[in-house]
Amino acid sequence: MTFVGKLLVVVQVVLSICFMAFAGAVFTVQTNWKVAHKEIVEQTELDKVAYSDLDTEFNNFKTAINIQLKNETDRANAAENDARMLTQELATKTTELDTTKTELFTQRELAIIAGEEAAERRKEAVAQRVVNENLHTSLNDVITKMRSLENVIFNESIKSKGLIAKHQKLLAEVTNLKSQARANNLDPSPAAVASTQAPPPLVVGLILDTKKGNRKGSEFVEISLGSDDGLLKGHMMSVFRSGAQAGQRAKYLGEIKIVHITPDRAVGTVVDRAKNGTIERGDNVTTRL
Amino acid sequence: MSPQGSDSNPPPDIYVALLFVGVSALIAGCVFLVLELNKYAWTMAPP
Repeated sequence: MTFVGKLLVVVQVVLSICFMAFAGAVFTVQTNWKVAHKEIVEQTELDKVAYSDLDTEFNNFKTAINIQLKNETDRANAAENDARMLTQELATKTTELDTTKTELFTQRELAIIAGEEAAERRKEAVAQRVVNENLHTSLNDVITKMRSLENVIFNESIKSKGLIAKHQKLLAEVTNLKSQARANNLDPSPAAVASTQAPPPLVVGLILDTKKGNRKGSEFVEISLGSDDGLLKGHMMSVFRSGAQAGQRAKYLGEIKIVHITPDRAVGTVVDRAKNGTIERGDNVTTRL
Repeated sequence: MSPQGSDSNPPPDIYVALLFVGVSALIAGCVFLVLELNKYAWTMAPP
């Protein structure tokens, strides 16, 4: 074999080995583009379906969004109107708030004053409570006394009822006795009774005036004594002449009975007259000789 | 191939072995290519 034949054999072997290596590498490493194409086509179909679904969903979503957008637009318009109204109302409320703040300040000042007043009233209430406790104690004492007095009153009322019955009985008796006294020509008045029972005090007075009464010769005399001197209607008094003047002597002139009396004067009628005596102005009169 | 005539066959040498190796490599490469074409179902144009 020539050198060229040997060289060609070696080259042919090397190239065969390279061909085998590249073919093996292609078989081993190369991607199967057909499978990849099929997978991509399937994926594309799936993506188309998904796209269709998404498009439908997008349309639905778009419709819903448009409706919602319209609603939201309406709401926004309404909200703008509300906001405008609320702005106006806010301005009004702000004014009212200022007014209210002013009133609040005033009311706070009043509250402070009221609080101070309340504190003072509280102190006063504490003091009044002490007074109240004392009053309660006094009230209890008074209630106790009142109950005892009620018992006394009850007993006294029972007694008074008995006394009233007795009084009624005595009034009936007095009425009966007065009727009997009038039937016997007796004066049942207390003054007449007193004049007949109680002796007149020892007093001496003067005859102030005399006057003839009527045709029977009864005579009235006015004396300087009255009820202030202890005289009563019906008292008997003696008339005398003292004889203090020259040429006269003491003389009994008669007896009078008091028929009318005033505090410092009295009028009597002559019930007994001395034979030689004439009662004149200036004569003395006394209750006891 | 030898100048003395075809009666005496020369003994195989290293180059004959290399020729067998080259043939074997070609056969293996062809098998790989056949297997690769089987993956594409023997279609040459793209779908």
